Amino acid sequence: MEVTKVLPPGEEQDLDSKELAKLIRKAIYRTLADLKKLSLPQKTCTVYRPDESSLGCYDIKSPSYREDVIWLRINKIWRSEESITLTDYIWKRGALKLTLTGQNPDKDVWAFNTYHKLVREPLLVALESTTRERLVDYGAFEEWAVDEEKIEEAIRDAVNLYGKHRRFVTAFCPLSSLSLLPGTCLEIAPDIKLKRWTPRNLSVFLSRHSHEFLWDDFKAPYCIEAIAEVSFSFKARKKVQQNSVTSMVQDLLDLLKWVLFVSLNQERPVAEGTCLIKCELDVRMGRFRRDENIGPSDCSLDKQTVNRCTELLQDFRSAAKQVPDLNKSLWHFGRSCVATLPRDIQLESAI
Amino acid sequence: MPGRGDSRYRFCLHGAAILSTKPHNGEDVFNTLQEIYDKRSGAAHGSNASADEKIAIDSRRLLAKAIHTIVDLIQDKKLNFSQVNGKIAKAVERYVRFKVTSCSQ
Repeated sequence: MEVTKVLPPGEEQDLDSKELAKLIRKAIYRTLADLKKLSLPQKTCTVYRPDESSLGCYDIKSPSYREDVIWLRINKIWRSEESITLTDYIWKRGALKLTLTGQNPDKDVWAFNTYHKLVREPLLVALESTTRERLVDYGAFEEWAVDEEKIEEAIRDAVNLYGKHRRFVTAFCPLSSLSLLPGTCLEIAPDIKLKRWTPRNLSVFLSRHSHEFLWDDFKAPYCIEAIAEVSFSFKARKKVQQNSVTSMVQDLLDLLKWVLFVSLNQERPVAEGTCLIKCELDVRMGRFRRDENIGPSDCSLDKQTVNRCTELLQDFRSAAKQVPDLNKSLWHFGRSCVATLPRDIQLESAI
Repeated sequence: MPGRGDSRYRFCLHGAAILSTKPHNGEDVFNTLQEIYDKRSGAAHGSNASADEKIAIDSRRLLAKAIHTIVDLIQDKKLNFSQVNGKIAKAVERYVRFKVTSCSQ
């Protein structure tokens, strides 16, 4: 007979982020050491690499860290001393509760699930990310090689998500018509940045996400210089729907487009390309494409314009805090920017 | 437009009051807004399906400018939101009324 239980029992206590990070780190390195003996299956993947003039696209053999053989090995080695210490720490604090259904859902089943979230997934993300960067940089990889920095990044993500219960969302949206120098990062606000990636950064991004863009997409990151990076966070256990996340990203993009439109004094607003939404641990949250316009002719952003954008944005936010109705007007402006027909532009602009 | 009646006139008057940067270009803005209102009304009621591109672009530009001006007016505390339920259109109506009455005094 099946039973349903919520585990661990007892009242949930806060987890100490530093302690959690330390325990996850130990469990990850132990798992890595145990897995290293395993020979990895390989698969062919598409890798972008910068060459003299542009980017080259290559099919390269790459280790596949998500094959059955690795799952089977993990099933054998997961109960290490380090992992047990980690799961015991969380169990004692009644944290990371799970509703489990089965013949006998017990601590072991809960611990296995928790191990996957806090140890296995961050480790695999760090391994894949390291491999991708090495393939971009050298065209070759080293089995089980993982950069310490990637592990730390993955641990930070896991602690934010499972310890602090915060979900951090970042969206990447190419914007047409803006000229920026390679490596530029313009911070319009802490949560809104305009960047031009270096050829290496662009190669790493495309090696991971090129399938998100159509081959003839003239507003894909390989055709467009400026990428808007917008970010925000929300409470992880609050039920937030996919379309709410998309709307939040779109609102930030509308705000960015408004400040650029006013500051640059152009006839047309900058046009968006396909926007990709991601959250921590390299999770893809979604994608949208809502703008078929081309945008104005090339315009460059000097320091003065960027400062003007920053001021406008701060003023708008401060005013919208006092009068939330202002957000509706901005929403209509955003709609008018992505409208294609003059009729639709007009209907959105004059209400 | 809040309330009933004369919406075309009030759209143009309120728009011109907040969009005209210099006193002498108020009439030009008023005329442009009249044209925008008519085209918009035509588009909404299906009598003019192929809207004019220039007017559409002007509409968007003026919307962006109107947002900017309203932001400034809010920052300068020139818009009074008490008893208007946070509605910008109502606050702008009051602002125009105040401007007119203070001019005539």
